[in-house]
Amino acid sequence: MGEKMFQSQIYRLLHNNLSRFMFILILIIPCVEVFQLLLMKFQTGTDFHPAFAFFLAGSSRGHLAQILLLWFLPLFFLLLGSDDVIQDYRTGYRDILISKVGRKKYCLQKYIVSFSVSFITMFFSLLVNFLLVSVFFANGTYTKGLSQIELPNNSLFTMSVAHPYLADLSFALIACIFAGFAGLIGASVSLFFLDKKYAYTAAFFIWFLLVLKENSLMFLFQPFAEYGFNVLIPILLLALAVFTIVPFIIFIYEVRYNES
Amino acid sequence: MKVKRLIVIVSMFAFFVIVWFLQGKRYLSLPTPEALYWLNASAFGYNSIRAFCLFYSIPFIIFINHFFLSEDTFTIIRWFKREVLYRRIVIKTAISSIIFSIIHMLVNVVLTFTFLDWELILEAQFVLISFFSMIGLFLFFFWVGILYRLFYDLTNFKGSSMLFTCLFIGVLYFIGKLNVLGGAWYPTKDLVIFQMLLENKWETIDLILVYTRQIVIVIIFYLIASSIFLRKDFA
Repeated sequence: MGEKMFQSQIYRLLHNNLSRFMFILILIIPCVEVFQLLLMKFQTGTDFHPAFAFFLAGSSRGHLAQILLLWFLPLFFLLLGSDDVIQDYRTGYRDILISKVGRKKYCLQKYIVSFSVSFITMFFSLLVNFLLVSVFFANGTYTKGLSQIELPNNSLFTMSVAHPYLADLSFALIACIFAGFAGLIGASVSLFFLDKKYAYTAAFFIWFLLVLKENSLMFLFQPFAEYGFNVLIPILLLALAVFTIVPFIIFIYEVRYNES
Repeated sequence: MKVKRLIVIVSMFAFFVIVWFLQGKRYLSLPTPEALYWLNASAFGYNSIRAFCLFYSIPFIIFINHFFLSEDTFTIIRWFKREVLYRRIVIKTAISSIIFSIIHMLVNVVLTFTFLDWELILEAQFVLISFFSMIGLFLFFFWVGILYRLFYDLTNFKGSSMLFTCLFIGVLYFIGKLNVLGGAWYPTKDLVIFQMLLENKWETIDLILVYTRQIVIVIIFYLIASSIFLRKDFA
């Protein structure tokens, strides 16, 4: 039954037009930045180093693509499929599944699927972006002058500039994990509220307040920034705490106390 | 519904207070005139175009959704004509945008008076400027609301229309910020009322022009959205 449940949900995701559209949208938004950088290349001749032209490095002016995608990430993933729980509830499929496999397995399965789907979507999006920048900026050398700057107290910055691809990879991994968490938050609030109106509101505000903070969640996704471990670690810990505690409490509530 | 509305309004107050502190904390220690300028500048901060377009557009849509009861399919047959229903929807949008911009203004005025020097604030005609800015903001959110309704009528789904509206406004904001159009006018350019009035750069005529332009945008979106609404298939 467990496997069938996964299969049915993935099948539904793959055949849902809105999910397909959101997947493509998430894939396209980083490409907008490649276009911006290419425009810059032809207009002003700035030929970026591929690692610095990567989506997360945010080299374009204004950070259009980064803001549009990363600030509202949970909404993208809710539309992609994290709010699937609400559909289950409306159609009554939830009751069938719960009576067959139990609440615990049901909730766990929803969590796992939304985490992994969001993770994989973000991974593909960044991968496509990386491939594009490696092709278009293959011989680029411009690093925004960052390779000349020395910040002896900031070991993260020194390491990142010395090994730019490694920095990209590790920040991309963090971005993927947090994309997974964005999906997870979406799934958990959907499980809790069972109403799109409230689920979207809750997921949006949980994420957005962390983004608006002075030490923003967005610093975690940006390689080659001036922030060292002393800034990033507290943000990471706070974000991890929020993104694990909220789903965990909702899980316990759903499994133990919710008798509806 | 009364209690729910109260909760929605209180949470909006809380949201604005949080944004105000997060955006303005570092300027509070400056002398009053400078602090007043930086707190209300148009590039960064509580009253910036960036905040209006990116911070507040989704909360505003959430506010519309929660402030009124969601309509069911049968509401279509409650009135003699579809036009009446659409007019009621637009009036609801207008009411929510008025309340939303009033909350926005109140938070700014109250917190500014709490933390800065009263005399200097009054000298700068801060309250009057806040009021003018509030009217501009009301018109802006009014067409954002109509736009949201337009996307809702097209997609028939609140979640995606929320995101599309936000992306639309975000793209408009970046068109302005990246100077794609050169010096030409674009809809979100009018949101600089606060800074311009604070710096005494604008005459009354400029303000009237801004309001007129925003009203024209509202009318245009009203016409487009109403034609889509009237053809919509309520299934």
